[in-house]
Amino acid sequence: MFHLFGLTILLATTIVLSLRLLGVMFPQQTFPELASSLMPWNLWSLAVMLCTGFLLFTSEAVKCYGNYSFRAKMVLLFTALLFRFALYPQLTRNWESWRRDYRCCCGFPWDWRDERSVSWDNESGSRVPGLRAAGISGISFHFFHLADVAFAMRRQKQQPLVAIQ
Amino acid sequence: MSLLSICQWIQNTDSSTALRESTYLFPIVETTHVLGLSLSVGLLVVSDLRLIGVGMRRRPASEVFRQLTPWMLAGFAIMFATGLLLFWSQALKAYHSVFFRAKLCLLLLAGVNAMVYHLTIYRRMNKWENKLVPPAQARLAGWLSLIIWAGIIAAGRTMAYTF
Repeated sequence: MFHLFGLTILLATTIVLSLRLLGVMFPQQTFPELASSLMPWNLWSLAVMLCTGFLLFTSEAVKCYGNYSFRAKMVLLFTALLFRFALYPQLTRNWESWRRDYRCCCGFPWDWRDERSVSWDNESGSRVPGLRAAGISGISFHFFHLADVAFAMRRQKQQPLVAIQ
Repeated sequence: MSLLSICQWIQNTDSSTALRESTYLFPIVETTHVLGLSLSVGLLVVSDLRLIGVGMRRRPASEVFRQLTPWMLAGFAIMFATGLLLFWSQALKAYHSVFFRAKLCLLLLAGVNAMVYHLTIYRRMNKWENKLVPPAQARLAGWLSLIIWAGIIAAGRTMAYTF
């Protein structure tokens, strides 16, 4: 249940931020301003999902081991996390005029509240290829991750329990 | 013709059986329902956070709602369509599930809350949209919406379990 709550908020904030990068949503608002509002919710919901996901895994570890959809889900999750924490800041950072403040924001190392505006923030975002990639990828990874969930649920019903070797 | 007999009839139709026993179609419908949930309820949570004065406070409330509403409505349309399909495939199970009935009651409550909000405080939004702390009525509507939708998600998830 809390896994679903976390999922709802995580995906919603990801959608809003990614659509901003694509220039579709909140085009008049700068990305740092939007991110300063939504990033804490994004990161905390991700933390909730990881914790509850781990607990769910421990309750059905053998079943998960034998489920290929779960393995695919873990690969997709790892890819999404790698993108989120390694590539996403790179793609959304302007080297020339945006000094990144490394002060902690709600316990996480990125502070998106640098209001010394960057040149691209006033653009819609859609003309910058790197930002488009960030926007599309941000949504895609999370959607593929979720798409695997239902398949995992279905195949868990169909596959027999794998015996411990 | 009772509700139970209607649900039994639905359960026995060829389309219901085909959907329920399909290898790929049922998971696709289920996945789409979950994705629709994230789109609709997730964006609704973001707008409710603005309503209670916690999130996106520096933007006018009307701008936040205007940007989020089209996507939210698209998400609700997806959820309604896929929810109908899921009900169609498991009508009898839904009939016997007390959590499904609770979910429907909460959905009705959420609709009433939204209607009351739109007929009252929403019409006076130009007076409070730039305030960091919205009026009490707006905050109440936001909190009620958050609580009711949390209940809907909980009831929907609990439907899968039998006690």
